[in-house]
Amino acid sequence: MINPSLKIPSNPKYLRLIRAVVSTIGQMSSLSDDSIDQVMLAVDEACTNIIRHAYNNDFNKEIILQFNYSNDFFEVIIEDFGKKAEPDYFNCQPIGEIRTGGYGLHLIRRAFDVLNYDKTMENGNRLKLLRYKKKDENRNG
Amino acid sequence: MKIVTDSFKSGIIVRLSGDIDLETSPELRTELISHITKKVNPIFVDFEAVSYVDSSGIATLVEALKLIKGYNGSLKLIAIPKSVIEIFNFLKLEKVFEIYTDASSCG
Repeated sequence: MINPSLKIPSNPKYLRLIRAVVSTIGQMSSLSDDSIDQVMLAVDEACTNIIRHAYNNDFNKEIILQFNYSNDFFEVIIEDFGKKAEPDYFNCQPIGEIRTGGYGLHLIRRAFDVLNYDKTMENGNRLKLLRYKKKDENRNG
Repeated sequence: MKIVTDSFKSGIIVRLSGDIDLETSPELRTELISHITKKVNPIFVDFEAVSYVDSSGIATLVEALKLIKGYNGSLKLIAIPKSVIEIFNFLKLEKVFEIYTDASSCG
């Protein structure tokens, strides 16, 4: 089986396309509507981080997304070829504080059970996001 | 995203429609800052026609709130859709902002 994938420019105007694709594949994998909303936002946040931090707002670079799913899980692998993520990338700031940033990682962690940063990439970053399907989610996918 | 701003009560109302994300939140920031620099008070933001807000949109609102508080003004958020208010709740920001179900219910 060939898994769906998407290669897009690192331009914020393509975030809408990413959300549409995540939503569609989420439906195909039989995620619930609430789960689709969460994973769509989380993938948007991960790509936003790539545009802002890995590519420092250079809108002409590449972001590659790969999707894998089964009856049990929904996985998104996101690759870029920009600056390596800082070691503290996964350190969330406390929730509930009034600040003008740092919310994205909380929203990614809410949607996905496992965040795996692949340190073996020679150039750029590869982030694997894995969500286990909940018991009450439709399993017709 | 579209922005339409009108006079409302003693201040202004900023009516938003569409998605607020990394592409569009700078436009919202520019709009809000333009009124904040004039110390407009209060500023209402109507979300009734908003379908999506990401963390860049949330951060824009938090920044605006901080600046408005600087002159003892108020930022009132109106008609936030369920899918978006759920994000405010998750981030524990629902009590940070003044949130109203519709324009007629806010002072």
